Amino acid sequence: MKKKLLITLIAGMAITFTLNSCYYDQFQELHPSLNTACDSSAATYSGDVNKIVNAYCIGCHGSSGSGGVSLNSFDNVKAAAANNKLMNALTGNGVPSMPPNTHLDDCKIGSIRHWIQSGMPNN
Amino acid sequence: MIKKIIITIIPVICFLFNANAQKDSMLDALDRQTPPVSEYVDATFKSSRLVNFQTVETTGKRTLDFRISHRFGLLNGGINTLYGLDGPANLRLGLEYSYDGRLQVGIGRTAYQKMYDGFLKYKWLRQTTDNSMPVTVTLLSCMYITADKDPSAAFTGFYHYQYFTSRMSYNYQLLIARKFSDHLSLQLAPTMLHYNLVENITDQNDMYSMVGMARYKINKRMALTGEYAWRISKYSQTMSQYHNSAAICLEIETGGHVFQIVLTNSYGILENQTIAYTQNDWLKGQIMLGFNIGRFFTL
Repeated sequence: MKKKLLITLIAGMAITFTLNSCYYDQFQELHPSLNTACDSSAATYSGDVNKIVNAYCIGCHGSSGSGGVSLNSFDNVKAAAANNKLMNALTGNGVPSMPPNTHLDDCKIGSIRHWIQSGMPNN
Repeated sequence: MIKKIIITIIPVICFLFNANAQKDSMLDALDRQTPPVSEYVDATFKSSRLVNFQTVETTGKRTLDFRISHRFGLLNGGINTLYGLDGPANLRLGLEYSYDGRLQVGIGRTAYQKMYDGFLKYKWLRQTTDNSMPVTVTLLSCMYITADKDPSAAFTGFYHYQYFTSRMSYNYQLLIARKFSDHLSLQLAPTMLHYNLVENITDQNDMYSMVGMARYKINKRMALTGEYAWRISKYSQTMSQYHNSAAICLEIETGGHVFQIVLTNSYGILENQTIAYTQNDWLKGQIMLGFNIGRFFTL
């Protein structure tokens, strides 16, 4: 009897907690202006590329340089971009797709592509 | 004299025959009255997790299971990354406990997405040797909370985790398994995942899938296992970028340990990471090596 009561109590608490914390949110709906926030055609190194690299790459490709690729400075990022290693990794072209656990959205990849096509300036 | 002997023997034979017949009929009656002894089938699976997904098993009475799950980088990174051993690696540490052997609670923390998880699991129905209950059914409810920072906030200006509840997601499974023989066990699990926050307006917060798994025991200590998750519902317009999670595993049991050597296309370890968002494709050779260790402590 005691055991049944305990199981019912735990299950009841779990269901109550779950239902109380259950939401149906969409990020785009919460922030409608998000769609216009990204303009890859105006991408710069300091404003976009460096931020993307710092957010998604530097954890593994810092000074230790996992896989022999270090992205901890402008020169290193430029070198990886110049020999196509950077774009190949971001698009999974012939090498494992990076980052290993998520896809960068088209806008971020577009920003890096635009910066490369602009001659990789340190702007 | 002969007549006396015959007169003595005949009743004795009659008595013995009658007694024997009575005994047989009494045993028959007992057999008819006593139902065959029904026992619960044990060890449908050897561990509460096959690779990434949970089995119908709960830990034994008053038993604590300390679990370490580790995934290396992609094998197709080649010799330059020592076939993924250079990483990037993912790790989950977990503690799972059951007081009565049927209701189990568990907590854990996974490095990828800095994900904390907790779950309740209850072995509701148990398969019996006489097939009066042909399957084992376990109910599972999991909750996940990510402690990750939003890397995209730096350039979008919008923080994904503005609300704490946006960090939460859930998994509900009905685990149905049958041990067909000493060697073969199969499991099916209708699964519902709920994400409090998804990215696009067209994305679904709920997604449905079916998880299947099998275990084939090779010998007393070793078994081959495999699992596969079918994504049933259309939960996102970008779902074609992701793949069904699949894994094969060599399971080695030693005293007090279960050691699992794993090949999988899922970098994540938890259901909310693997079922909907497995990025790698087995067909492209995007698989990674990993291992799980379960160490049991009786408290």
